[in-house]
Amino acid sequence: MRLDSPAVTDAEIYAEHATALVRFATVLVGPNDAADVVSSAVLRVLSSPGWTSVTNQRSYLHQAVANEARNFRRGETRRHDRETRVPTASVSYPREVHPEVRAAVARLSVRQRATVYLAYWEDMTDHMIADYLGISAGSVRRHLARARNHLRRALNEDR
Amino acid sequence: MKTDDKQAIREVLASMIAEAPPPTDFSNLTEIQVVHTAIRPRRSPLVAALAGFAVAVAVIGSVIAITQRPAPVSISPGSGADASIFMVPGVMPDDLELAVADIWTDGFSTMQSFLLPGRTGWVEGDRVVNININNMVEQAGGDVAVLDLVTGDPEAFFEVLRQQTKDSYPDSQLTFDEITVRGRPALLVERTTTVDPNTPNGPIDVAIGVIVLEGNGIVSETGTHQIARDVAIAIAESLTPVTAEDFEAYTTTQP
Repeated sequence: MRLDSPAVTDAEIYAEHATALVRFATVLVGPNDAADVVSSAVLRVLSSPGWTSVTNQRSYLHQAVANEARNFRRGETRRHDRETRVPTASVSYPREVHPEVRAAVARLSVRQRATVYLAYWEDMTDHMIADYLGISAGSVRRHLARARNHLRRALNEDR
Repeated sequence: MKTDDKQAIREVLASMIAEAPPPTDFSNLTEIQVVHTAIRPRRSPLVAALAGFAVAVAVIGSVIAITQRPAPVSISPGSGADASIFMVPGVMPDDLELAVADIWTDGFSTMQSFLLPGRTGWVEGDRVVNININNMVEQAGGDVAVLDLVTGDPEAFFEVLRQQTKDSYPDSQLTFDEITVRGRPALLVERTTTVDPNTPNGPIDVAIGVIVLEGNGIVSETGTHQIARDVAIAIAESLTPVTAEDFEAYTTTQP
């Protein structure tokens, strides 16, 4: 806990969570932009006046990455970069692993992808995800339901 | 969901995570923070908030049939006093459908994307209408200077926008027109860019963004890709406030 352990530096906190954050961002925006999204989110968080009072840094940093990923996705500044990378990005994930499902995951919204990641990779419950992302449990259930609908179709095609 | 399905999803996530790059080396984090803090005062909160604005891409000369769609949710009577991040369009090219509608985690913004069926909107040449509505004051932390700029000084606000757009697109041909949308001050940004000639719509992209000062610190942005200028304006003109509950329902009814 940051307040309880003031000796822990931001660099140490970052080092502790960086790998998990980049993995999370990779699922949200792809491998090409993941590090960039995490860097932006971390710098934004560390320069925020509220950071010193945050008690659950892991959750807070994941929220920041999720927000940054969504900003990133709508940000036109990087749109051209993304577009020019699309042909590369589309083959950068191993396609042999359930290609239909992989494509379906890639089509999910950032928030849907975030909830799928936390539910299926981190094994979090709806309430845990809600706390983690700072949204209601109802929203989590809705995002997961929509994501599952999309994925279920892909899973059926995958067989 | 069946166990096999869960396992398949986990395997897909694992394959994606396997591609994760190494984290950025922030061993010099203290220095980075110092630099970041030092440059921060030069960047106004408004400009920071504007950094997320999208100015969309359109192709000149695309002729699109406009249909007056029935409102997707029950519409509350709108006026300047009702400016809200919860606004939906009543006009939309009839071949585009709502792909995403969402309330941002911070609670101060909403976004909607209308796309051709089956398209992602990420590929150059896609026809897209994006509607982003921001509570700029809340995003900027209630900064009084920002409030003054957004609510009391449209010209200064638009100048910030113009400058931010010029900074973001130094290689693009930009034109700016101050117009009126629903009686409110608005800035129309048109951006022409030479792109990859192999894109489906050729080597020229034209971006149209209609940014409207809706009042109460609310700023709407209608950004279009491959949508004619008059259509982009018509969509911005048709934005109508709805309740938060109605918008929530709107998000739940999307395909």
